[in-house]
Amino acid sequence: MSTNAASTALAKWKVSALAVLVVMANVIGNCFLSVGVKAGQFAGWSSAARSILSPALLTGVLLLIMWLFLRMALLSTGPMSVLLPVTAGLGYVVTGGIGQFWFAERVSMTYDYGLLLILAGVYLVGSSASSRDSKS
Amino acid sequence: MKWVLVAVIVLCTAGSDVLQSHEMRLHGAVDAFEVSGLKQTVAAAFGRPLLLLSIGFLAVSFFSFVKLLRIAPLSFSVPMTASTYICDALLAKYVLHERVNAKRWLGIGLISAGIVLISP
Repeated sequence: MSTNAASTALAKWKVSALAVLVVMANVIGNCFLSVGVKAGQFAGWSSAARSILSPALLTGVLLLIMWLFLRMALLSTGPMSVLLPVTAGLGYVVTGGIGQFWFAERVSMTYDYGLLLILAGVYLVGSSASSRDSKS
Repeated sequence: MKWVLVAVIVLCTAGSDVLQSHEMRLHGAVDAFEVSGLKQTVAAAFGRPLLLLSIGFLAVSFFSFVKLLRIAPLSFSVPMTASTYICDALLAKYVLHERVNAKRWLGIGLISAGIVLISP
């Protein structure tokens, strides 16, 4: 393998790993945010302030700030028409998977068909990317 | 009111996406696995006015979505905002001049349809 080919493969690996980090930061950040908001008592200013300082809410906000910067870095590496649908679609699939397999949530067949459609869409969008995209 | 909020969410999210993509492509590829790469991204976010504007758009979109959830059911809110991905693809093609082929359009359509199906 030539040095040039090796560096291209490394770059592709880094882009894929970055996409996974973007998805996980978004999914886990939203989970913490949801837990923090549900646990919080937003009856008045003092209780709202206490809720904002809760570890779950703070972790959620920090992870979503991290998601924002990681997504910016990801967008510097390739076309938006590939990167955004793929990361968003995978986010829905991971969230659905966590709900079903971790929290043992019962979902309908329609929900599973929806996840399959999203996976098929992610595959199509991901495989539609070509080397010419990076030159556009 | 709910349709106004849907329009605000879709336009602000798509606007934020296209601004971030345009500015970061101008900035050049960032290696997020190196500290210097992350520093570059944060510096770009605060140093480029259009990137700051994109973060503002994202904030407007977020608070509009929270407001939409208060006045409309989740089964309406999530599928409606899924149209953002189609809007993103249109902006990518006509504003950023990306090559969006038939396979990619089909994939984006399937993802949007899937989001509609998984909505409660």
